[in-house]
Amino acid sequence: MVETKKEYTWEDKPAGQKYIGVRTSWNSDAMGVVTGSMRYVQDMTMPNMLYGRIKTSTVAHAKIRSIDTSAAKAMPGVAAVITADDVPDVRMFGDEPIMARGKVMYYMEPVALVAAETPEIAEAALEKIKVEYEELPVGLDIEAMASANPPVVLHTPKLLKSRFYDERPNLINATIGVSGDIDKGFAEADAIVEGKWDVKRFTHTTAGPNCAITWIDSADGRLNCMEETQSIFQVHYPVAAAVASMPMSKVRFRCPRKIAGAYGNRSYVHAATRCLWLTLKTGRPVKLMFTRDECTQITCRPRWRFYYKVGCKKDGTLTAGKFTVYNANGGYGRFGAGIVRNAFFQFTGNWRIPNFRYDSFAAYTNETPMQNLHTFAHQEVCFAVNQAMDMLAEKIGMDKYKFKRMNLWVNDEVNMADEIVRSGAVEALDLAAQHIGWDKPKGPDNGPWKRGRAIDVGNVYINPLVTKPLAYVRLNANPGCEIFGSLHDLGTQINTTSSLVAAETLKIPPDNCIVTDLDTDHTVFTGSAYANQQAFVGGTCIMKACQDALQKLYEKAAPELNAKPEELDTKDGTIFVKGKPENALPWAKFMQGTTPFIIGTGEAWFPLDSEDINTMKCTSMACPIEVDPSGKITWHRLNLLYMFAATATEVLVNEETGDVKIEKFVNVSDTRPLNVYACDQQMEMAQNYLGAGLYTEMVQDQSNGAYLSTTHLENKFPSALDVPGPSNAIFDHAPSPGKISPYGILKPWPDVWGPWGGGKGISEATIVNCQSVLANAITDAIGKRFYEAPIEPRKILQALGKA
Amino acid sequence: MSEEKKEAQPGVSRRGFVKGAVAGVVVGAAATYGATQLMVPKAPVVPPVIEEAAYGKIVTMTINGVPTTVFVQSNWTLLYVLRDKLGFTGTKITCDYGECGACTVIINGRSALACMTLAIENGGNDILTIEGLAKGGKLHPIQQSFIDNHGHSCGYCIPGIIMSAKALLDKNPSPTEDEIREGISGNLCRCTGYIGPIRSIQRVRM
Repeated sequence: MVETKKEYTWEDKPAGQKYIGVRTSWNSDAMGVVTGSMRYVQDMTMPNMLYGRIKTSTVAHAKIRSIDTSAAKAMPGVAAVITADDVPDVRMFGDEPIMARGKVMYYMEPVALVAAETPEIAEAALEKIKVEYEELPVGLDIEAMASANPPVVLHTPKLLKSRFYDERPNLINATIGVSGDIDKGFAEADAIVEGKWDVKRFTHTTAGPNCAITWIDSADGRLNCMEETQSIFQVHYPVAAAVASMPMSKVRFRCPRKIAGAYGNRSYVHAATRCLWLTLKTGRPVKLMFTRDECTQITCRPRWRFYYKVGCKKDGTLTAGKFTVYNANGGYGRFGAGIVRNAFFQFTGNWRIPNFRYDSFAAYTNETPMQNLHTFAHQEVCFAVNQAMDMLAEKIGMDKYKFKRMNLWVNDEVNMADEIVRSGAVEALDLAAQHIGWDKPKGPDNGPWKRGRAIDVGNVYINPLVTKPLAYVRLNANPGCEIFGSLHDLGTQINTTSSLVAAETLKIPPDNCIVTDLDTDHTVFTGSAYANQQAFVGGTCIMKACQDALQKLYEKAAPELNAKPEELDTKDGTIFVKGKPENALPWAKFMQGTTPFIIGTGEAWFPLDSEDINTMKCTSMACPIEVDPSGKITWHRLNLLYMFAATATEVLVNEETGDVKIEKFVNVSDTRPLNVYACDQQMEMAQNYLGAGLYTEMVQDQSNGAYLSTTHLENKFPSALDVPGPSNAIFDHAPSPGKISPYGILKPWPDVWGPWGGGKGISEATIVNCQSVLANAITDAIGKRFYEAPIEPRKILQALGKA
Repeated sequence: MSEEKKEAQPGVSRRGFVKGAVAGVVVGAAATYGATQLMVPKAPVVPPVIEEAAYGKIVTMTINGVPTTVFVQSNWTLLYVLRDKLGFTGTKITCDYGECGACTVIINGRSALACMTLAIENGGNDILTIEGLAKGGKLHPIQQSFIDNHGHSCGYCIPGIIMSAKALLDKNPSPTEDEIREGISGNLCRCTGYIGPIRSIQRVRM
């Protein structure tokens, strides 16, 4: 097991930090986890609680002729059976109903809900519900469905508006990006490659099934919801109130301290929105936990098709690129409008392509509605882009690492979206090349086992999508503090990282810095757990809140110490004049009486006032790339920052069986790790996505849209035997150079962002190259190119003409 | 009541807010159900008495060293009884199919999947769950190692992995990396890439 550096440094990191950027095993939640006492929603029950279940559709596209619930309702122990007719016509995110209304759009769409005294009764009641369908043709061909004359139209009238080509009946969104002159760019190219890539569906496989408990508080009559969420204030709380058709003040939403896996799955309200209606109908607490099939069928990432054409000069300089992207979005929109736009950020972040055109389409198809899954399209985009880059390098006979290195945006370069790219991509790529030994020849083949290797680089953006994130801390005399903010711990250890940030700022042990639980009644909005913003945004808010509290404490203490507040310092819960720790006074001396605490507040970046939001259009779903009729593009500021990862691998491919063995795996980020162990772990997680490159897939019946594989084993999720393992893997960080002040040229932002200039996001970038690097390495081994992920043994044998 | 009904209507400002916050949640017209019900809290409902299934019996198992007597229906899994009847929620539910290992417990010294084991078969058996691992206020060395070596991410699968590790180390106190990988290969983990758990098991100091 290679443990890389003990400590990471960057420009703005002060010396002598105890907790930030160093490897500390302190973890606020580990004790609860290892003893089994950490309570996830799935573990919770309430007195007098009912068990909810979902009746799901057995067809992918049909009119609902009738639903007969009478037999189910008559069963002893059944408290409620409800269908779309019993709830208001609320459309989540514009088109998705609480339960299918008149039509089902995908296989296993919820059509009815049951609440019963025991799980067995609830399950038996599902069997008694009779649904009659009138089957309709199923539309799965993505290009046909996105066209002006699709074979099947899902929603009439159309509920979502596409930015372009809105007349196409199934189109949810289309985005266009143009820069330079693409014809001129291809004319200048000495080499051009093109290809068509398909990436299959893949599901989140969260360890904890989607689960909610809802109840009515008998004291104040409010509706209470408990579900694991990545975004309590921006999504779950307002959506639950809208679905319940109640004012937000009549709804209280909570999330447990630790979330049993998310990966995008919990950025949408799947369980509480259904469960709360069972509570409203029965007046009793209800727990609704999805079965594993339901988890898979109700949430998974979309299918993709990419057409790429890229050209370069003999010396390797990219001249032009044309990228067309199709997203088979499924039966409802969810985040599909945003994902086809954000897929574009791979180019604004990574590749210096002077002339290019980008077109993307998201359209309805009769399958599971898309759900955000880790990287929001970028790992799929990279599967195609990184292969296209390798193909070009091959064509001009250039080393692939050098080719990629020379075409990356470098630090401080201004990209086509007028962003200063703050990048450590080159540093990360260099470090990955060093760890894999790129300068040395790869090892020998071994009989039928052919050796191949590859090195790829990709990015994911960090976008806070929030206006004024805020945290507050309550300093107490312990010495310690309680931290209030919307920090969603999905396994990212944001609870721990937040405590470490507070401990470092207040110079007290982290055990005394407590992160309070997520509850809309008493936390404030500190951002959400998506777009890699939590440590960056939340960390900064917490650091500033702690600094604010300390400042107030210094003001109280200054007269007593005969000094000005700015001359004071603190350590281990005492205050002293800088350089004179021997005359220290305890915090407690200034936190006495009826209010033995001090409140500090911390806001993060302020340039995003309402005017900025209107002009810069930074909100996730509204951020456009605008093209006027002449084809001239108007860029809007897109992202805060890009974070990069370089990934390298060496594989052995068996030419007789099609098996692939991963011999070495290297993953390097350009982050500045606040909590080093947590950042390492994010890099390590990438190993699970190697499965998505080789075998993990939801197999779909193309005749009716149903999935043939729904369980872990059927989807072939990697086990400990399938991943390279500690002795074959290296994970490292190459902290990106320069100050992180992203709004660079249009509006210089004087502050350094991220706590102590660190905390550049990490999580999604770590996995962005996993599928492409395997594809490129397999190609390097056997000389065949693959245009479909995952690359299973049968495809390798087919490519070799052996199957 | 008229006031309450008014409040229950989807007000323009609220709708506007919701729309802005989540990019277009459409609140439909027939939206008066929930709130009117809520304003007057419902009296607690007494659950109807459900007839126990015809087949079931009282069994006594030793759970974490404590003899425990409980009525079980013949179709109840050990997982359901542990979690929903006895409150041992450290034994997790992920798939309920015997695929993921989150519900791993140790029965008479051998690791077993609680979701694939009928509770009724366990009369007289000695069952160890994650809650029984720490003794006398002191963590088991495997638990301690998972803390020291940062073995968890979201943590949900970790109790199952620790139980598999216990079964492995009881038989083989110094396993190789490959033996560890095999030992926990029945436990699926989505967010550690298995590195943290393997590292933690490698470094257990008994």
